[in-house]
Amino acid sequence: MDYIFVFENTNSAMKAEKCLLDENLKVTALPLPNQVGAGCGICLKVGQEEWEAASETLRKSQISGICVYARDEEAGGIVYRELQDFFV
Amino acid sequence: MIYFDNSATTLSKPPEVAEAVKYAVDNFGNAGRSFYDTVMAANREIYQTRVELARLVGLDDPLQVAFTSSATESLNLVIYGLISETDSVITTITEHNSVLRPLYLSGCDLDFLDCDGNGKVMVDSFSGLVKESTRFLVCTHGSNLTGNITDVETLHNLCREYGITLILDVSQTLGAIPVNISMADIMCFTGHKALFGPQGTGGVMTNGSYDFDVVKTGGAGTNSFGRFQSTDMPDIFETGTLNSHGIYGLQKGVQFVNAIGPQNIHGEEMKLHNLFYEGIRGIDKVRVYGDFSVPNRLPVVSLLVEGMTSSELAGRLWEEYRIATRAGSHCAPLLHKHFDTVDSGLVRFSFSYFNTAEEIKKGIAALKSIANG
Repeated sequence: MDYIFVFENTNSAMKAEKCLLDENLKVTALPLPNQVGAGCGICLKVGQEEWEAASETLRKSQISGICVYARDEEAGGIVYRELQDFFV
Repeated sequence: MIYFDNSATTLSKPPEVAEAVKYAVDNFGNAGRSFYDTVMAANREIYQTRVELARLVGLDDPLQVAFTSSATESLNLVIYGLISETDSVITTITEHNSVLRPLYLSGCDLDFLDCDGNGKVMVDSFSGLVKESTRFLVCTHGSNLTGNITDVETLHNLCREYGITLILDVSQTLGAIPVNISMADIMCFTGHKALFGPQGTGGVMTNGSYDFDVVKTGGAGTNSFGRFQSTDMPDIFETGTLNSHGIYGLQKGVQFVNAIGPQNIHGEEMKLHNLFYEGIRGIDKVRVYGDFSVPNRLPVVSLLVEGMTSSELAGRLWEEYRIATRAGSHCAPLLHKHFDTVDSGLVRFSFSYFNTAEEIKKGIAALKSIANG
């Protein structure tokens, strides 16, 4: 299982990516999944091994409006499950 | 050629600026519109440019830096985004038309801070202009005509006292002298002057949160099915494809400024300014305009030679000496009226970190020859 961070806009995503890269965390930009949102924006994917450190870094980043989804590859395709209120 | 028109645009720039623009033209995709490498390269360098600018002014959050095409566009977006015809606004007679014309068109009630004989803004008059309906002060940090620095520290303190928002035009000062975001509530800047960036770059920096009306709207790359785009900084000012090529060039200019430090750049430029000023002040027929009694000013000397219009003088400097200066009104109509130089205009010499003492001496010699000839 992987995790994706979804942002209110691309600028917030870029700020988040810089925060994560500054912590030497492995992060991948992906197109925003259609199941999650409309538009041609990006989300940031981290693997299980980076998840804890990445979420802690973004909690401290003061970036508002981040949503987090668990990303699972299942037989019918990729399934996204929102982790409700993760950053509240 | 000797280039003394750096207040218009800096011609000599760190070589990294043009190299970055070339690299960006060859390698950048459309920022904010997808996820693959060339797009992410543009995204990252645009964000890094925000980081460099935030560092320059002591701003905590780089996302409080928005990019536009120029200080003029920034001032238009901010003024139309905040000011309505029911507001009273204070400005100064030193302003550039990029401040004055949007204010005139907004229909707001305008009051003007006057200047003394040297073009220095009389900040002591501020309180007398404040009305119950006064919501904004829009003013320049440094005059493009005289090089005088406005006492924004005093003005900002007064603004806080009266609950007035200070919108500061830092076109002439950002990069040229130390500028901190705490000096104002909103700053409008250009990239191609003292920041050594390419033309077509500029922006808005906000110190806090402001409820801007949307002035321009369109594709933003996110929330595409919503009828309205985000009104958050910086998205509200960044509709459409950003000038990522120019912004990457600007990043290299700002990095140069950050590496040397605005205080050091100002010190070097003022050495040239003082050399020029001392060299020409004694010429009988030359009259300078500005407050030269204080060291905290911009490296600008505007002047006239008795019996000549500014266009005649600038024309001779170019034709006979290949010295580039700026003649005319400098888009500062009210200050020219104040100086009674509407008909003659002024000739502005504006210096840069990349000018040399040798060039200054040639400028002095040329002016002496013309004035005494």
